[in-house]
Amino acid sequence: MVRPSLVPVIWSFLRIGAVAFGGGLAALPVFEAELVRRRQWLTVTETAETYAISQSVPGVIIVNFAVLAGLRLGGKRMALCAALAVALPAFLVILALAAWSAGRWDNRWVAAALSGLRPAVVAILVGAAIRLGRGNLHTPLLWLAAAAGGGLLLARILSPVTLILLGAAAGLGIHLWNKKMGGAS
Amino acid sequence: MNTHLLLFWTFFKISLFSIGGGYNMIPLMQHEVAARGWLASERFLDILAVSEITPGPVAVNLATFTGYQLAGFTGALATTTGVCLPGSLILLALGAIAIRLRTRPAFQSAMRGVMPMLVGLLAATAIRMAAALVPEAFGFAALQTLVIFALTLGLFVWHRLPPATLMLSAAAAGILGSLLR
Repeated sequence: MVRPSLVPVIWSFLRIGAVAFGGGLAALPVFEAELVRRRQWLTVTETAETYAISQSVPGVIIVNFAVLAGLRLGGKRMALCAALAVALPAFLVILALAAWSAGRWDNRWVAAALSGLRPAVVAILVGAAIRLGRGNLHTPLLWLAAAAGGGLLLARILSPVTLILLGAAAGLGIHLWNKKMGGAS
Repeated sequence: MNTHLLLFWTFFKISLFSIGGGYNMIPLMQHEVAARGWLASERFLDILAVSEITPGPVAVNLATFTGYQLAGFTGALATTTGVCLPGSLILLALGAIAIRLRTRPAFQSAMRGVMPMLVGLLAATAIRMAAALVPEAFGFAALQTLVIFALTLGLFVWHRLPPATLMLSAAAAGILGSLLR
């Protein structure tokens, strides 16, 4: 494989950032179309692997992906440029929109559109919870843990960060317990 | 603390504690933004809707919009940098180590423990947000809200339609509703 130079990489990640609607979860096909089929810089397997890693690191999946792909394609400088390029289109579009919308939230047509959008956004959040749960929570106990976590947030007893840390600690604790038990037998 | 520094730090923290991207970041963002009184819950919903329709990562969209609302261009720069940095720094610093860590059983167990929390946080945040939708009286507006909610949920969960398509349809439905009223 020939190592690509900086400018085409920046251009490719600008393109990815401009067409990836809905963010990281829907971005895998966009990565494949650009980096595998159009440029042939990565294989399908490499793309899928990079994507999986970028999901298991904190932060924005698409930006993480750009950093990892940049590291693979040419090192740290390329990683930084790819990350900036992939975030830039969204940043500019939102800036323009935010500047335009200031003072227009009460416009008749904007208000009408928003009256339709608000319930749809809440529905997407509920749907995201259902889809994530159906894909990952395979026992009633895990659903119970989810309900407990949600309840503690709603009751303002624990913050999201605390709940996530507690979840990680519980997972790790069960892992160590099982290992100890397995080692003893 | 300086406003820009506070914006940067808040979004850095939000990003640092969110794994899996996209929707998983929303509960953390909603919590911070509401706790600091930065945005009304309705405006947060509006910005979320805009983020679904426009290209790019939802997290970057939300960060940019919130930052701009609070402190203009430089505010947007602070929040967007904050949200992009944690993952990038971790990957640049650890590189190959991060890649190997992912396959370790201990890491995977921790992730399995986080999963139910993510589901619970998303559901709880949706419930909090839904409070902004409850109308004063049951009339046409309430019916419209209910129908759009149910249709969007069904089409997203069971037919897996892309959020952008659903959002555009919902906006159109809202405009249509205002003409019928």
